[in-house]
Amino acid sequence: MKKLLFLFLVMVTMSLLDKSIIAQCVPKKVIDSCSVFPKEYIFSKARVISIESKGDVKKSVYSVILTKGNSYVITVCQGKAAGKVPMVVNLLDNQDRLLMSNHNTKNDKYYNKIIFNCNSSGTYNLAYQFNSEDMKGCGVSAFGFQKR
Amino acid sequence: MYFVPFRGIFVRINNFNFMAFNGKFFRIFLGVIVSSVLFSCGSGDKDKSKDDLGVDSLIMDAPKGDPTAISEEAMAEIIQSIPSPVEMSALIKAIGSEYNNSILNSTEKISNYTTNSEKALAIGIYGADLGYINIYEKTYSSLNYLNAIKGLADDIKVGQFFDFITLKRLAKSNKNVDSLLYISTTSYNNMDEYLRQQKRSGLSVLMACGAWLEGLFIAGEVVREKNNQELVERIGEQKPILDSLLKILTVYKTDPYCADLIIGFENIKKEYSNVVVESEFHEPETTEVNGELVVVDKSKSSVKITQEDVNGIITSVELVRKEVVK
Repeated sequence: MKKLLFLFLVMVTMSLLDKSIIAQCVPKKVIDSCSVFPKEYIFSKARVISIESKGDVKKSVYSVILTKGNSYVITVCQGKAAGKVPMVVNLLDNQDRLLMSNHNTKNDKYYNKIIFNCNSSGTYNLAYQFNSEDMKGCGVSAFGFQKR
Repeated sequence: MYFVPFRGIFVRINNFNFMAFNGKFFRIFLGVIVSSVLFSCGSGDKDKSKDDLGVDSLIMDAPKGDPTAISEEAMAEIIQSIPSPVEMSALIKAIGSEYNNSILNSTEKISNYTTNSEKALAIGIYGADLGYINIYEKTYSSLNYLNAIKGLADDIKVGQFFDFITLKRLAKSNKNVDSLLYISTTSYNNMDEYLRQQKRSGLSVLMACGAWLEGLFIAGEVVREKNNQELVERIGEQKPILDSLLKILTVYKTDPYCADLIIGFENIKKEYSNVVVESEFHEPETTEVNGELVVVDKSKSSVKITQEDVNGIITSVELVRKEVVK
Protein backbone atom coordinates (compact mmCIF):
# COMPACT_ATOMS: atom_id res chain seq x y z
CA MET A 1 0.00 0.00 0.00
CA LYS A 2 2.84 2.41 0.84
CA LYS A 3 4.34 1.70 -2.57
CA LEU A 4 1.07 2.59 -4.23
CA LEU A 5 0.83 5.83 -2.29
CA PHE A 6 4.47 6.66 -2.99
CA LEU A 7 3.82 6.15 -6.70
CA PHE A 8 0.79 8.41 -6.47
CA LEU A 9 2.82 11.04 -4.63
CA VAL A 10 5.56 10.94 -7.28
CA MET A 11 2.95 11.29 -10.04
CA VAL A 12 1.40 14.37 -8.42
CA THR A 13 4.81 15.95 -7.74
CA MET A 14 6.02 15.29 -11.28
CA SER A 15 2.90 16.79 -12.76
CA LEU A 16 3.46 19.97 -10.73
CA LEU A 17 7.17 20.04 -11.59
CA ASP A 18 6.33 19.62 -15.27
CA LYS A 19 4.27 22.84 -15.16
CA SER A 20 7.06 24.82 -13.51
CA ILE A 21 9.67 23.54 -15.99
CA ILE A 22 7.55 24.79 -18.91
CA ALA A 23 7.13 28.14 -17.14
CA GLN A 24 10.90 28.39 -16.70
CA CYS A 25 11.49 27.47 -20.31
CA VAL A 26 10.17 30.84 -21.41
CA PRO A 27 10.05 33.46 -18.66
CA LYS A 28 7.31 36.09 -18.92
CA LYS A 29 9.85 38.83 -19.65
CA VAL A 30 11.00 36.89 -22.76
CA ILE A 31 7.37 36.59 -23.93
CA ASP A 32 6.87 40.32 -23.33
CA SER A 33 10.07 41.37 -25.08
CA CYS A 34 9.29 39.05 -28.00
CA SER A 35 5.91 40.79 -28.31
CA VAL A 36 7.42 44.25 -28.74
CA PHE A 37 6.75 45.14 -32.34
CA PRO A 38 7.54 48.16 -34.47
CA LYS A 39 5.18 51.03 -33.50
CA GLU A 40 2.88 50.49 -36.48
CA TYR A 41 2.05 46.90 -35.50
CA ILE A 42 -0.59 45.67 -33.06
CA PHE A 43 0.00 42.59 -30.94
CA SER A 44 -2.35 39.69 -31.59
CA LYS A 45 -0.99 36.44 -30.11
CA ALA A 46 2.09 34.89 -28.50
CA ARG A 47 2.79 31.19 -28.31
CA VAL A 48 5.27 29.25 -26.26
CA ILE A 49 6.82 26.55 -28.42
CA SER A 50 8.21 23.61 -26.50
CA ILE A 51 9.43 20.51 -28.30
CA GLU A 52 10.65 17.63 -26.20
CA SER A 53 12.56 14.60 -27.32
CA LYS A 54 9.68 12.29 -26.44
CA GLY A 55 7.96 10.61 -29.38
CA ASP A 56 8.26 11.44 -33.05
CA VAL A 57 6.87 14.96 -32.83
CA LYS A 58 9.69 17.22 -33.95
CA LYS A 59 7.72 20.31 -34.84
CA SER A 60 4.73 22.31 -33.66
CA VAL A 61 2.22 23.43 -36.25
CA TYR A 62 -0.46 26.06 -35.68
CA SER A 63 -3.14 27.29 -38.03
CA VAL A 64 -3.74 30.97 -38.44
CA ILE A 65 -6.26 32.84 -40.56
CA LEU A 66 -4.64 35.75 -42.37
CA THR A 67 -6.44 38.54 -44.17
CA LYS A 68 -5.72 40.03 -47.57
CA GLY A 69 -4.42 43.60 -47.40
CA ASN A 70 -2.92 43.15 -43.93
CA SER A 71 0.77 43.18 -43.13
CA TYR A 72 1.75 40.74 -40.38
CA VAL A 73 4.82 40.59 -38.18
CA ILE A 74 6.08 37.30 -36.76
CA THR A 75 8.82 37.33 -34.13
CA VAL A 76 10.83 34.37 -32.86
CA CYS A 77 12.72 34.34 -29.54
CA GLN A 78 14.69 31.63 -27.79
CA GLY A 79 13.59 30.24 -24.45
CA LYS A 80 15.93 30.03 -21.46
CA ALA A 81 16.40 26.28 -21.69
CA ALA A 82 17.01 26.35 -25.43
CA GLY A 83 20.26 28.28 -25.12
CA LYS A 84 21.54 29.11 -28.57
CA VAL A 85 19.53 26.47 -30.41
CA PRO A 86 17.84 28.42 -33.20
CA MET A 87 14.10 28.16 -33.60
CA VAL A 88 12.84 28.02 -37.15
CA VAL A 89 9.42 29.19 -38.23
CA ASN A 90 8.02 28.31 -41.62
CA LEU A 91 4.84 29.80 -43.01
CA LEU A 92 2.90 27.44 -45.29
CA ASP A 93 -0.33 27.92 -47.16
CA ASN A 94 -3.29 25.55 -46.85
CA GLN A 95 -1.75 23.32 -49.53
CA ASP A 96 1.45 23.04 -47.45
CA ARG A 97 3.45 25.17 -49.88
CA LEU A 98 6.32 26.96 -48.14
CA LEU A 99 5.82 30.72 -48.36
CA MET A 100 8.57 31.90 -46.06
CA SER A 101 11.06 30.83 -43.43
CA ASN A 102 13.09 32.79 -40.91
CA HIS A 103 16.04 30.55 -41.83
CA ASN A 104 17.85 31.41 -45.04
CA THR A 105 19.50 28.11 -45.91
CA LYS A 106 21.71 29.74 -48.56
CA ASN A 107 23.72 31.78 -46.07
CA ASP A 108 22.50 29.99 -42.89
CA LYS A 109 21.11 33.24 -41.53
CA TYR A 110 18.27 33.29 -38.98
CA TYR A 111 15.90 36.22 -38.73
CA ASN A 112 14.04 36.89 -35.50
CA LYS A 113 11.49 39.12 -37.18
CA ILE A 114 9.61 38.55 -40.43
CA ILE A 115 7.08 40.74 -42.18
CA PHE A 116 4.45 39.02 -44.32
CA ASN A 117 2.37 41.21 -46.61
CA CYS A 118 -0.71 39.07 -47.15
CA ASN A 119 -2.56 39.25 -50.44
CA SER A 120 -4.77 36.19 -50.15
CA SER A 121 -7.19 35.65 -47.26
CA GLY A 122 -7.31 32.14 -45.86
CA THR A 123 -5.89 29.58 -43.48
CA TYR A 124 -2.12 29.34 -43.19
CA ASN A 125 0.12 27.16 -41.06
CA LEU A 126 2.97 28.28 -38.86
CA ALA A 127 5.36 25.36 -38.36
CA TYR A 128 8.03 25.65 -35.66
CA GLN A 129 11.08 23.44 -35.21
CA PHE A 130 14.56 23.58 -33.68
CA ASN A 131 17.74 23.18 -35.67
CA SER A 132 19.60 21.19 -33.08
CA GLU A 133 20.79 17.62 -33.34
CA ASP A 134 17.96 16.22 -31.23
CA MET A 135 15.55 18.86 -32.54
CA LYS A 136 14.36 19.77 -29.06
CA GLY A 137 14.11 23.20 -27.59
CA CYS A 138 11.81 25.90 -26.46
CA GLY A 139 11.03 29.43 -27.44
CA VAL A 140 8.31 31.92 -28.04
CA SER A 141 6.78 33.35 -31.16
CA ALA A 142 4.55 36.41 -31.29
CA PHE A 143 2.31 37.58 -34.03
CA GLY A 144 0.74 40.93 -34.87
CA PHE A 145 -0.72 43.00 -37.69
CA GLN A 146 -0.07 46.45 -39.01
CA LYS A 147 -2.30 49.44 -38.25
CA ARG A 148 -3.46 51.08 -41.44
CA MET B 1 -11.93 2.54 0.14
CA TYR B 2 -11.17 6.26 -0.25
CA PHE B 3 -11.45 8.73 -3.09
CA VAL B 4 -8.73 11.34 -3.45
CA PRO B 5 -9.16 14.37 -5.74
CA PHE B 6 -6.55 14.51 -8.50
CA ARG B 7 -6.89 17.15 -11.25
CA GLY B 8 -10.63 17.09 -11.35
CA ILE B 9 -10.98 13.31 -11.12
CA PHE B 10 -11.12 11.00 -8.13
CA VAL B 11 -8.53 8.35 -7.56
CA ARG B 12 -9.68 5.31 -5.63
CA ILE B 13 -7.45 4.02 -2.86
CA ASN B 14 -8.33 0.72 -1.21
CA ASN B 15 -7.82 -0.16 2.45
CA PHE B 16 -5.87 2.93 3.35
CA ASN B 17 -4.88 2.95 6.99
CA PHE B 18 -4.25 6.54 8.10
CA MET B 19 -3.19 5.55 11.59
CA ALA B 20 -0.47 3.24 10.33
CA PHE B 21 0.88 5.85 8.02
CA ASN B 22 4.23 7.38 8.92
CA GLY B 23 3.63 10.90 10.36
CA LYS B 24 6.30 12.76 8.40
CA PHE B 25 5.34 11.03 5.17
CA PHE B 26 1.69 11.82 5.85
CA ARG B 27 2.46 15.55 6.28
CA ILE B 28 4.28 15.59 2.93
CA PHE B 29 1.44 13.67 1.35
CA LEU B 30 -1.12 16.08 2.80
CA GLY B 31 0.96 19.06 1.62
CA VAL B 32 1.05 17.77 -1.91
CA ILE B 33 -2.68 17.08 -1.92
CA VAL B 34 -3.42 20.59 -0.58
CA SER B 35 -1.06 22.06 -3.22
CA SER B 36 -2.76 20.04 -5.91
CA VAL B 37 -6.17 21.31 -4.83
CA LEU B 38 -4.89 24.90 -4.64
CA PHE B 39 -3.36 24.61 -8.11
CA SER B 40 -6.67 23.51 -9.50
CA CYS B 41 -8.60 26.31 -7.77
CA GLY B 42 -10.29 28.71 -10.08
CA SER B 43 -11.76 26.06 -12.31
CA GLY B 44 -15.06 27.16 -10.87
CA ASP B 45 -16.45 23.66 -10.63
CA LYS B 46 -18.27 24.41 -7.39
CA ASP B 47 -19.84 27.54 -8.78
CA LYS B 48 -21.07 26.13 -12.03
CA SER B 49 -24.76 26.50 -12.56
CA LYS B 50 -26.68 23.60 -13.98
CA ASP B 51 -26.47 24.64 -17.63
CA ASP B 52 -22.72 25.13 -17.44
CA LEU B 53 -22.10 21.73 -16.00
CA GLY B 54 -23.72 20.49 -19.16
CA VAL B 55 -21.42 22.55 -21.34
CA ASP B 56 -18.30 21.60 -19.47
CA SER B 57 -18.88 17.93 -19.02
CA LEU B 58 -20.02 17.25 -22.56
CA ILE B 59 -16.59 17.29 -24.06
CA MET B 60 -15.49 14.47 -21.81
CA ASP B 61 -18.76 12.64 -22.15
CA ALA B 62 -18.99 12.84 -25.95
CA PRO B 63 -19.75 9.30 -27.11
CA LYS B 64 -17.05 7.48 -29.04
CA GLY B 65 -17.76 7.43 -32.72
CA ASP B 66 -19.88 10.58 -32.50
CA PRO B 67 -19.16 12.36 -35.80
CA THR B 68 -19.49 15.76 -34.12
CA ALA B 69 -16.93 14.94 -31.41
CA ILE B 70 -13.59 16.65 -31.94
CA SER B 71 -10.52 16.57 -29.74
CA GLU B 72 -9.60 19.28 -27.25
CA GLU B 73 -6.47 19.97 -29.33
CA ALA B 74 -8.49 20.43 -32.53
CA MET B 75 -10.88 22.71 -30.69
CA ALA B 76 -8.00 24.81 -29.28
CA GLU B 77 -6.49 24.96 -32.75
CA ILE B 78 -9.70 26.34 -34.25
CA ILE B 79 -10.19 28.91 -31.47
CA GLN B 80 -6.60 30.14 -31.72
CA SER B 81 -6.66 30.39 -35.50
CA ILE B 82 -9.59 32.83 -35.54
CA PRO B 83 -8.40 36.37 -36.23
CA SER B 84 -8.71 38.91 -33.44
CA PRO B 85 -11.79 41.16 -33.81
CA VAL B 86 -9.31 44.03 -33.41
CA GLU B 87 -8.21 43.34 -37.03
CA MET B 88 -11.75 44.08 -38.23
CA SER B 89 -11.91 47.22 -36.06
CA ALA B 90 -8.57 48.41 -37.46
CA LEU B 91 -9.98 48.14 -40.98
CA ILE B 92 -13.18 49.94 -39.94
CA LYS B 93 -11.09 52.84 -38.66
CA ALA B 94 -8.84 52.75 -41.74
CA ILE B 95 -11.76 53.20 -44.14
CA GLY B 96 -12.64 56.44 -42.37
CA SER B 97 -15.67 55.32 -40.38
CA GLU B 98 -16.39 57.55 -37.39
CA TYR B 99 -16.33 56.07 -33.89
CA ASN B 100 -19.84 55.04 -32.90
CA ASN B 101 -20.38 54.16 -29.27
CA SER B 102 -24.09 53.41 -29.81
CA ILE B 103 -23.41 50.22 -31.80
CA LEU B 104 -21.53 48.64 -28.88
CA ASN B 105 -23.18 46.44 -26.27
CA SER B 106 -23.96 48.60 -23.25
CA THR B 107 -22.16 47.63 -20.06
CA GLU B 108 -25.40 48.40 -18.20
CA LYS B 109 -26.70 45.05 -19.44
CA ILE B 110 -24.14 43.13 -17.43
CA SER B 111 -26.65 42.09 -14.77
CA ASN B 112 -28.71 40.36 -17.48
CA TYR B 113 -26.02 37.72 -17.85
CA THR B 114 -26.61 35.29 -15.05
CA THR B 115 -25.38 31.87 -16.14
CA ASN B 116 -21.75 31.02 -16.82
CA SER B 117 -22.57 30.40 -20.50
CA GLU B 118 -24.13 33.86 -20.86
CA LYS B 119 -21.18 35.40 -19.03
CA ALA B 120 -18.60 33.67 -21.24
CA LEU B 121 -20.37 34.81 -24.41
CA ALA B 122 -20.63 38.35 -22.97
CA ILE B 123 -16.87 38.38 -22.23
CA GLY B 124 -16.31 37.71 -25.94
CA ILE B 125 -18.76 40.45 -26.94
CA TYR B 126 -17.34 43.04 -24.55
CA GLY B 127 -13.82 41.95 -25.56
CA ALA B 128 -14.55 42.78 -29.21
CA ASP B 129 -16.11 46.10 -28.12
CA LEU B 130 -13.03 46.90 -26.06
CA GLY B 131 -10.85 46.22 -29.12
CA TYR B 132 -12.97 48.66 -31.16
CA ILE B 133 -12.75 51.32 -28.41
CA ASN B 134 -8.98 50.92 -28.10
CA ILE B 135 -8.41 51.12 -31.86
CA TYR B 136 -10.20 54.48 -31.81
CA GLU B 137 -8.16 55.48 -28.75
CA LYS B 138 -11.31 56.27 -26.76
CA THR B 139 -9.64 55.13 -23.59
CA TYR B 140 -12.13 56.96 -21.34
CA SER B 141 -14.84 54.54 -22.59
CA SER B 142 -12.61 51.52 -22.14
CA LEU B 143 -12.81 51.70 -18.33
CA ASN B 144 -16.47 50.68 -18.28
CA TYR B 145 -15.75 47.77 -20.59
CA LEU B 146 -12.72 46.72 -18.57
CA ASN B 147 -14.90 46.76 -15.45
CA ALA B 148 -17.56 44.68 -17.16
CA ILE B 149 -15.07 42.09 -18.43
CA LYS B 150 -13.31 41.90 -15.09
CA GLY B 151 -16.64 41.32 -13.28
CA LEU B 152 -17.71 38.59 -15.67
CA ALA B 153 -14.26 37.01 -15.64
CA ASP B 154 -14.28 36.91 -11.83
CA ASP B 155 -17.70 35.26 -11.92
CA ILE B 156 -16.41 32.42 -14.09
CA LYS B 157 -13.19 32.22 -12.05
CA VAL B 158 -10.75 33.51 -14.65
CA GLY B 159 -10.47 37.06 -13.32
CA GLN B 160 -6.97 36.31 -11.98
CA PHE B 161 -5.66 36.50 -15.56
CA PHE B 162 -6.98 40.01 -15.99
CA ASP B 163 -4.37 42.58 -14.97
CA PHE B 164 -7.07 45.08 -14.08
CA ILE B 165 -4.89 47.48 -12.04
CA THR B 166 -2.41 47.97 -14.91
CA LEU B 167 -5.19 48.18 -17.49
CA LYS B 168 -7.06 50.77 -15.44
CA ARG B 169 -3.88 52.84 -15.12
CA LEU B 170 -3.18 52.61 -18.85
CA ALA B 171 -6.76 53.54 -19.72
CA LYS B 172 -6.32 56.93 -18.05
CA SER B 173 -4.31 58.22 -20.98
CA ASN B 174 -4.73 57.71 -24.72
CA LYS B 175 -0.94 57.69 -25.05
CA ASN B 176 -0.87 54.10 -23.79
CA VAL B 177 -3.10 52.51 -26.42
CA ASP B 178 -0.47 50.02 -27.61
CA SER B 179 0.18 48.79 -24.05
CA LEU B 180 -3.55 48.73 -23.38
CA LEU B 181 -4.13 46.60 -26.45
CA TYR B 182 -1.22 44.32 -25.57
CA ILE B 183 -2.27 43.69 -21.96
CA SER B 184 -5.98 43.35 -22.73
CA THR B 185 -5.22 40.90 -25.58
CA THR B 186 -2.83 38.82 -23.48
CA SER B 187 -5.31 38.82 -20.56
CA TYR B 188 -8.03 37.59 -22.89
CA ASN B 189 -5.74 34.94 -24.42
CA ASN B 190 -4.65 33.76 -20.97
CA MET B 191 -8.25 33.42 -19.76
CA ASP B 192 -9.08 31.44 -22.88
CA GLU B 193 -6.05 29.16 -22.51
CA TYR B 194 -6.73 28.55 -18.82
CA LEU B 195 -10.35 27.57 -19.50
CA ARG B 196 -9.17 24.99 -22.01
CA GLN B 197 -6.47 23.68 -19.65
CA GLN B 198 -9.13 23.28 -16.97
CA LYS B 199 -11.32 21.26 -19.38
CA ARG B 200 -13.84 24.10 -19.46
CA SER B 201 -13.54 24.44 -23.22
CA GLY B 202 -17.27 25.04 -23.57
CA LEU B 203 -16.81 28.49 -22.02
CA SER B 204 -13.77 29.14 -24.19
CA VAL B 205 -15.83 28.28 -27.30
CA LEU B 206 -18.57 30.69 -26.17
CA MET B 207 -16.02 33.47 -25.63
CA ALA B 208 -14.72 32.93 -29.19
CA CYS B 209 -18.28 32.91 -30.56
CA GLY B 210 -19.14 36.14 -28.73
CA ALA B 211 -16.03 37.95 -29.97
CA TRP B 212 -16.59 36.79 -33.55
CA LEU B 213 -20.30 37.68 -33.54
CA GLU B 214 -19.66 41.18 -32.16
CA GLY B 215 -16.83 41.82 -34.64
CA LEU B 216 -19.11 40.85 -37.51
CA PHE B 217 -22.00 42.85 -36.04
CA ILE B 218 -19.88 46.02 -35.82
CA ALA B 219 -18.64 45.49 -39.39
CA GLY B 220 -22.23 44.99 -40.58
CA GLU B 221 -23.44 48.18 -38.92
CA VAL B 222 -20.61 50.12 -40.54
CA VAL B 223 -21.42 48.60 -43.95
CA ARG B 224 -25.07 49.66 -43.53
CA GLU B 225 -23.83 53.22 -43.11
CA LYS B 226 -20.83 53.20 -45.42
CA ASN B 227 -20.93 50.55 -48.15
CA ASN B 228 -17.19 49.96 -48.34
CA GLN B 229 -16.13 47.17 -50.73
CA GLU B 230 -13.14 46.03 -48.68
CA LEU B 231 -15.28 45.69 -45.58
CA VAL B 232 -17.93 43.80 -47.58
CA GLU B 233 -15.19 41.37 -48.69
CA ARG B 234 -14.09 40.90 -45.06
CA ILE B 235 -17.68 40.04 -44.16
CA GLY B 236 -17.75 37.49 -47.01
CA GLU B 237 -14.46 35.98 -45.81
CA GLN B 238 -16.10 35.09 -42.49
CA LYS B 239 -17.80 32.12 -44.18
CA PRO B 240 -15.12 29.49 -43.36
CA ILE B 241 -14.70 30.95 -39.85
CA LEU B 242 -18.42 30.52 -39.23
CA ASP B 243 -18.12 26.90 -40.40
CA SER B 244 -15.28 26.33 -37.92
CA LEU B 245 -17.23 27.92 -35.05
CA LEU B 246 -20.25 25.78 -35.83
CA LYS B 247 -18.01 22.71 -35.80
CA ILE B 248 -16.80 23.38 -32.25
CA LEU B 249 -20.16 24.65 -31.04
CA THR B 250 -21.82 21.45 -32.24
CA VAL B 251 -19.78 19.51 -29.66
CA TYR B 252 -22.08 21.13 -27.08
CA LYS B 253 -25.30 20.71 -29.02
CA THR B 254 -27.09 18.98 -26.14
CA ASP B 255 -26.63 22.04 -23.94
CA PRO B 256 -29.78 24.21 -24.33
CA TYR B 257 -27.88 27.52 -24.47
CA CYS B 258 -25.46 26.24 -27.13
CA ALA B 259 -28.31 24.60 -29.04
CA ASP B 260 -30.03 28.00 -29.37
CA LEU B 261 -26.79 29.62 -30.45
CA ILE B 262 -26.27 26.87 -33.05
CA ILE B 263 -29.73 27.63 -34.50
CA GLY B 264 -28.80 31.32 -34.72
CA PHE B 265 -25.42 30.58 -36.33
CA GLU B 266 -27.07 28.14 -38.77
CA ASN B 267 -29.41 30.97 -39.81
CA ILE B 268 -26.38 33.18 -40.49
CA LYS B 269 -24.81 30.29 -42.43
CA LYS B 270 -27.86 30.07 -44.72
CA GLU B 271 -27.27 33.68 -45.72
CA TYR B 272 -23.69 32.75 -46.64
CA SER B 273 -24.73 29.90 -48.93
CA ASN B 274 -24.14 31.88 -52.18
CA VAL B 275 -20.90 33.48 -51.02
CA VAL B 276 -17.80 32.08 -52.73
CA VAL B 277 -14.23 32.66 -51.51
CA GLU B 278 -11.60 31.83 -54.16
CA SER B 279 -7.82 31.95 -54.19
CA GLU B 280 -5.04 31.61 -56.74
CA PHE B 281 -1.48 30.70 -55.79
CA HIS B 282 1.61 32.58 -56.97
CA GLU B 283 5.15 32.31 -55.61
CA PRO B 284 5.86 34.99 -53.00
CA GLU B 285 8.75 37.44 -53.25
CA THR B 286 11.24 37.64 -50.39
CA THR B 287 13.58 40.55 -49.72
CA GLU B 288 15.69 41.79 -46.83
CA VAL B 289 14.90 45.33 -45.71
CA ASN B 290 17.03 46.90 -42.95
CA GLY B 291 17.98 43.47 -41.65
CA GLU B 292 14.38 42.25 -41.57
CA LEU B 293 12.91 39.61 -43.81
CA VAL B 294 9.98 40.97 -45.82
CA VAL B 295 7.80 38.54 -47.74
CA VAL B 296 5.34 39.87 -50.29
CA ASP B 297 2.51 37.46 -51.00
CA LYS B 298 1.78 37.31 -54.72
CA SER B 299 -1.22 34.99 -54.40
CA LYS B 300 -4.69 36.42 -54.89
CA SER B 301 -8.02 35.82 -53.25
CA SER B 302 -11.44 37.14 -54.10
CA VAL B 303 -14.94 37.00 -52.66
CA LYS B 304 -18.10 36.64 -54.73
CA ILE B 305 -20.86 38.28 -52.73
CA THR B 306 -23.96 40.17 -53.84
CA GLN B 307 -25.65 43.10 -52.11
CA GLU B 308 -28.52 40.75 -51.31
CA ASP B 309 -26.12 38.34 -49.59
CA VAL B 310 -24.62 41.21 -47.59
CA ASN B 311 -28.03 42.45 -46.45
CA GLY B 312 -29.12 38.93 -45.51
CA ILE B 313 -25.94 38.29 -43.52
CA ILE B 314 -26.12 41.59 -41.65
CA THR B 315 -29.81 41.09 -40.78
CA SER B 316 -29.26 37.54 -39.54
CA VAL B 317 -26.26 38.67 -37.44
CA GLU B 318 -28.35 41.48 -35.94
CA LEU B 319 -31.06 38.99 -34.98
CA VAL B 320 -28.69 36.58 -33.25
CA ARG B 321 -26.84 39.40 -31.53
CA LYS B 322 -30.11 40.97 -30.31
CA GLU B 323 -31.11 37.60 -28.86
CA VAL B 324 -27.85 37.04 -26.98
CA VAL B 325 -27.18 40.53 -25.61
CA LYS B 326 -30.78 40.82 -24.35
